[in-house]
Amino acid sequence: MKHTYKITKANEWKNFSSILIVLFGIIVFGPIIFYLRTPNGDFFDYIPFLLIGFLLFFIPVSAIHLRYQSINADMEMLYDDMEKVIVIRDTKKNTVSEFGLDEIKHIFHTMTPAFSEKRMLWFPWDSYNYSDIFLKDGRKYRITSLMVYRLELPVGDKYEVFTSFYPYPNS
Amino acid sequence: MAYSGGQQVFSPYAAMGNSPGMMIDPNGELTKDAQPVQDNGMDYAGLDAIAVRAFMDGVMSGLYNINFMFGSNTMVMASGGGSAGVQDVGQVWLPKYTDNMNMCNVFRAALSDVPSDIVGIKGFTIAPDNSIYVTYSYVTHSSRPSEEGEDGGTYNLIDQYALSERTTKFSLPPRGDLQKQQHGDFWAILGYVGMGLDVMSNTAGTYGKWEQTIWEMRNSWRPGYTAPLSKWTSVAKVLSNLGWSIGIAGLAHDGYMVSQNSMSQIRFTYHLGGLATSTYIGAKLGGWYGAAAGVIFWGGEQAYDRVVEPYVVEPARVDFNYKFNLFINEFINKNF
Repeated sequence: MKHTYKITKANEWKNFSSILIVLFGIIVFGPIIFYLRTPNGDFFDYIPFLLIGFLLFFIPVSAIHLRYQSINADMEMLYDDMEKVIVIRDTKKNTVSEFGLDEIKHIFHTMTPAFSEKRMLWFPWDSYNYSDIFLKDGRKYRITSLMVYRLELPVGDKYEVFTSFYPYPNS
Repeated sequence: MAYSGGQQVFSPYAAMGNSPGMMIDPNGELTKDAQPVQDNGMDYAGLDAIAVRAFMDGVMSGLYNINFMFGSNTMVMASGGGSAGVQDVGQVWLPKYTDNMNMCNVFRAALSDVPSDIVGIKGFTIAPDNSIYVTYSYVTHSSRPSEEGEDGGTYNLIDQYALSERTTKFSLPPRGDLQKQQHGDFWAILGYVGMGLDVMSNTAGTYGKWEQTIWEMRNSWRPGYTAPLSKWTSVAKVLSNLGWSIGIAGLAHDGYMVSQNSMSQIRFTYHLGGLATSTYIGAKLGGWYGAAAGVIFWGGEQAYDRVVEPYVVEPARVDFNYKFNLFINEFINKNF
């Protein structure tokens, strides 16, 4: 069976929906909390504080989302689970790379602790994760969760999980 | 394999510890590890022979807290003395997170889910959806009437044991740090509390299992309610993020109160610290622990407002002011 992966709206929604839930919650709970605790207060004085609180989460999520998008933009990955072959196509550079699973030297999968343990996602960026695929011939590919939500190729002990509080790829 | 309890001769594999896949006995003198293993090109669920060998070395040296030998591609389980060669595993022993996740997953699945009659894993495959299909050997038992002259006529029935194979699909644990999914200190502390209660009720040590109980508390798998969420992941995601929005809205309101001089900065800092601490604990250990930390902070504030402040701080303040004023008055009256 052949699987095709690329950045999809569904995956983007899966990753980004957390912060939108937070936004929805703030819009609903913000006024409720305000009127419960300070019925005679001025709500407009409260809005800047709400905004600051929201931005504390929105900025990191947006930054990581845009970074992931820039990494995998115009990329496409095809995986043949019978032949154990991966084809990575860059439609912008018009290049195609093909390699088998046995050519993989390492896969380092970086994710948050909650995501790695498959428990309740805690921070709005908890579902963001990326895999670095190192081949024996020196080639390297990075697949983010915008392409494949959780990439787990059957490569045995070549697969390793790294946990990070904020899985932003620096290099 | 011969059954040692019913015969005068041991299994032909006894010389290599009943594990010909793992041990050799070339001169008939002493069993030793079959080292070194060369990569034979075989693919054991994505691992070569050397990787399997390395893992099994870890198993045998106790690295993974597995208390019995469990071969990956051969029947292993030393004979239990004169009785049948099946030991009661008794408890689930888990490998720590290692560089060999497939093996860990197989062992984890096999150790936690296998029926009690298993005597060894023969082989396994990992499907593309990460399900594990393990083929294992198990003991079948039957009896037959003794034939004339057999066993000296001592027994009416002769027990017969044989090995059969079965393939079963096992559940796959999540990848990641498996060790963290064990009970950890919380349940160990609970175990100590239970022991204390035992002492108080004079039933301590009745079963002589104190240490074992604590060990099990620390190292057995979490029960379902703290197990990783599966079907409920979407619901949990909504709940956690709504929780965040309430936290943000509440903290923003605190900031607003401080700006209106309606809340002290110390109290705001306490709220901020409470949110950060409960968040950290929740992210590190799990949602329930984070919620418990939040409740503790909330309880601390309530205790201060309702008990400490009116009954301790305020009387002390009044008393201090009274005595201080008295002292100042006396000082002024005496000296001026």
